[in-house]
Amino acid sequence: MEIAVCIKQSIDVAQLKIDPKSFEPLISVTPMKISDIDRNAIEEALKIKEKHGGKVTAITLGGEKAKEVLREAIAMGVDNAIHILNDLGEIDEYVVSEAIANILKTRGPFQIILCGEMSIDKYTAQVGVRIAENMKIPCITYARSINVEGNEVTVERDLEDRIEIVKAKMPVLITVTREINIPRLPQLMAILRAAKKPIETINLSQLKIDLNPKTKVLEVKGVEIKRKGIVIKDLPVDKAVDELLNNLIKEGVIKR
Amino acid sequence: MKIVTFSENLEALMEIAAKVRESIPMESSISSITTMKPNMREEMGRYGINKLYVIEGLRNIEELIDAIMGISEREEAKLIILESNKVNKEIAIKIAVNIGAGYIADCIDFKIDVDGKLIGKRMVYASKAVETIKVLSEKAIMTVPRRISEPKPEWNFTCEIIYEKVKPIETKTLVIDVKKKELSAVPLESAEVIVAVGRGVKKKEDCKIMEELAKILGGVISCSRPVAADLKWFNEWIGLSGHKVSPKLYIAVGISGAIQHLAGIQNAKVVVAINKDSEAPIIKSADYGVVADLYEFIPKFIERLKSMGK
Repeated sequence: MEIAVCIKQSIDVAQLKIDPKSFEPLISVTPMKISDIDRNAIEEALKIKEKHGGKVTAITLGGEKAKEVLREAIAMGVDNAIHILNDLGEIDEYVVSEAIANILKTRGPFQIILCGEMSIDKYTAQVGVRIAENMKIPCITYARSINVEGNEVTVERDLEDRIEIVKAKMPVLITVTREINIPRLPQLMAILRAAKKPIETINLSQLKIDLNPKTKVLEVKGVEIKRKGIVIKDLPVDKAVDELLNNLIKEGVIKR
Repeated sequence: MKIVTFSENLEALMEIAAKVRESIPMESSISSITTMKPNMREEMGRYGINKLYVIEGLRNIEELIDAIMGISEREEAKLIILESNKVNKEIAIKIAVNIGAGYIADCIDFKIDVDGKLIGKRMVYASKAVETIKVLSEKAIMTVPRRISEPKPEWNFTCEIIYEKVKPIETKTLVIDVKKKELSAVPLESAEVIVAVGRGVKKKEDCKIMEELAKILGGVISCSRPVAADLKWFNEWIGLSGHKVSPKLYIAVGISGAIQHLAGIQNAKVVVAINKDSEAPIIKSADYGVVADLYEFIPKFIERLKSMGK
């Protein structure tokens, strides 16, 4: 079984700071990390491989630093890694999906393609579905379990008000939720070995695809958080309750 | 501008129509598509909708996508707007691929630029920032959240109702079973008061007193992601990957305040946090952060509220 997993390097959103004067998000100084849910996608790919045999190929698109997420994937246990180097600068989810679909088609065939349900930075949930639609293969989103049998997958799909059990024939693209598994932590030796493993790099500009984005980011502005930040502490419980209650009455959210 | 909108829910279609009418001042025609039989057809014109297509005989997502694309083509729509939910986002992206359109997910505000192209705003980086995006393609598609605007009955269109049979298409993803989730009796998005529990609550039984607190305050109980996803005490949670809520009063009990959780409560009016760890991020991110043992604080809080006649 050939399995592909599409991963992304994102800024560590929890560490993102907003400039208090200009409200500019300070993105360039924010540490990068693998988009969390993509680790679940890698884990699921490895689990399927362990049960059914085959190889796992990890693909990412990004700048030079994006290789780090491929090293992490290799340390977790993936067999091959392909880096589509973004040598063009600003692109959008359309170009990203076109590029990844192109690699999947030329390096495949892959029976199962896995993605995280969405990336932790932008949350558009777009690339996985775009890839599937580009490749004209079935797409199952928001998987919280995957079972492979013969040439079919059965997936539990987590929607707002219901769980759907969905069957599809391979090849198939599946986007996974954080609830699907607990990603393994790579061993130190595996991390050291991964650092030496060759990573294939392809320049985005050299792919024979449409490189014209469909959308353009005009501006990103930080949001002012307007919480009062009043801390009630070091008080006996009775007093703390009174203090909170008085404040909530003043706010008008509890009526006297 | 010719616009097509889609939601299963008529109320959502009226909200979207109101938002379109206030955001796109030029003369526009709105053709809405739904899957439910309308019981208020005369009303739809008053809410700014020119045509209502009711899709019949629907069996799968492929047929729905085909129907929305067919109607959009016939109506010569330049802009397609869908109510944002998990399934509709997938539909929107598939349509975007098929018609070569740029897509804006979870768009909270939008306008048409001088060149006739769509500009939209959306929250990014766990709601720490707002991104302004311009769609460069001729056609644009977006999903918008519920309650993007109040429905406004201030128009006098005669809404034409058109029943549309779908073209049968074999599905590539067969749904073989559906299990309904047991959800909060009041939708979390419309709750006025929410008491949410986190990992600081030790046992599932302990949620009972939080539920009592919620009841006294006229609200509902919910939780943070780990309590639902890992402990499985609830079927839904509050946060970026769950519900984004806007109650008047939000009480976080034993929740540490991961950034994804904070993103879900950004629109709450007053946020109270009760946590014994004064270093927990939620203490600083609340209006009132109470550093106390919840097992001592909550029973006393309930007692005082009861003594006030609540």
